[in-house]
Amino acid sequence: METWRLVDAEYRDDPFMNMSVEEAIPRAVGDGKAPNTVRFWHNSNTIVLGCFQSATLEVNFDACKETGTTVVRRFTGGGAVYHDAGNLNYAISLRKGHPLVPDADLQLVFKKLSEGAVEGLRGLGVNAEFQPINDIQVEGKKISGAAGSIRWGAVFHHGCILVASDLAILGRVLNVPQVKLADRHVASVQKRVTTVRDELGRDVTTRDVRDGIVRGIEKSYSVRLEEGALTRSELSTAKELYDTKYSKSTWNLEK
Amino acid sequence: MGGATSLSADYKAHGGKLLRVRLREMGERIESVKLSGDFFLIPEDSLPKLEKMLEDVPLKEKELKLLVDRFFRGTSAVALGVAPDDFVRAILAAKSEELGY
Repeated sequence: METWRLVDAEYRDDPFMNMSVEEAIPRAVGDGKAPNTVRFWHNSNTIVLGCFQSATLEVNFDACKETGTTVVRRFTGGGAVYHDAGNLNYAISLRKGHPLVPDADLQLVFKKLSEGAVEGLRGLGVNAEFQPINDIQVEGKKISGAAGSIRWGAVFHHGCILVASDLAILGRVLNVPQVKLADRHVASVQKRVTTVRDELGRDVTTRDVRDGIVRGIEKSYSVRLEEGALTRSELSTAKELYDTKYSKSTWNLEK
Repeated sequence: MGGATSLSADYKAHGGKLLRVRLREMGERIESVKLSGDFFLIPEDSLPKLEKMLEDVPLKEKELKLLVDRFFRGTSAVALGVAPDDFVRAILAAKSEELGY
């Protein structure tokens, strides 16, 4: 049975470092300097923009200031997401050509590498299903969004799971254009998302969900996850990315 | 000769993703353009190249389509959630909104 590294590496109060680590891992995996890896992590109040999004158009900066929300841009496409302590992030980095996702097909990557999270959520009692292009939904409501890339010799997929997030802040800090909501016949972002807590009708921790997704990944892909740590090389790369990219407003805000 | 005009459009592609166009038009040509949205495009660093290629291109469907097709062929870029023609439609939508269509 194949073994993947399991890393709980996070900087809860430093979303810029969290994003630096997020890029350092697939770079190391693609270079053959680290094994296939699953990472779990949290951010405090943060908007994470897709790499093609305009901060000016997507972010309500006044609401961010009022709520102490930071804005950071990730290296993958897709839409903006709101992170807080009630939101669990996971990332899967595999060497390019891995049998699970042998083709450079991003839609296939989203479908295949969402299966572990879907299985994990179902194991917890949440009626989750993958919804193309890149969502996991529960009866039409989004509970997780994913993004990904194929670069640096790696296949990379990451997602955020709304466990017990503050949906009221989420609705304030993001400007969702009307054209995006119109076809869903709902008035706001709050009404088209749900959380694990709301679906289960009881308190649930992000640790519970993390453990469930570990089981879901192991079952879905017939792999064993073995706890490990970031290498010195990955930490060095992350520090360099922090200094040159993710701590810079030119990267985060000026698209 | 008049100055540049700012045009914009938010275009929802059939693939489900949003393309947001902000451009400056001068004499029926694109002076500069910024494309943004929640789509996927691999390689990610190819988008600025498309924006650069669109500079000085006439705001006409045929010319835009030729340019966008050349970009996708030349870079081997692959989009998800938007199709190459959506970039053309989104830019033309900005022009249409200026005209009040």
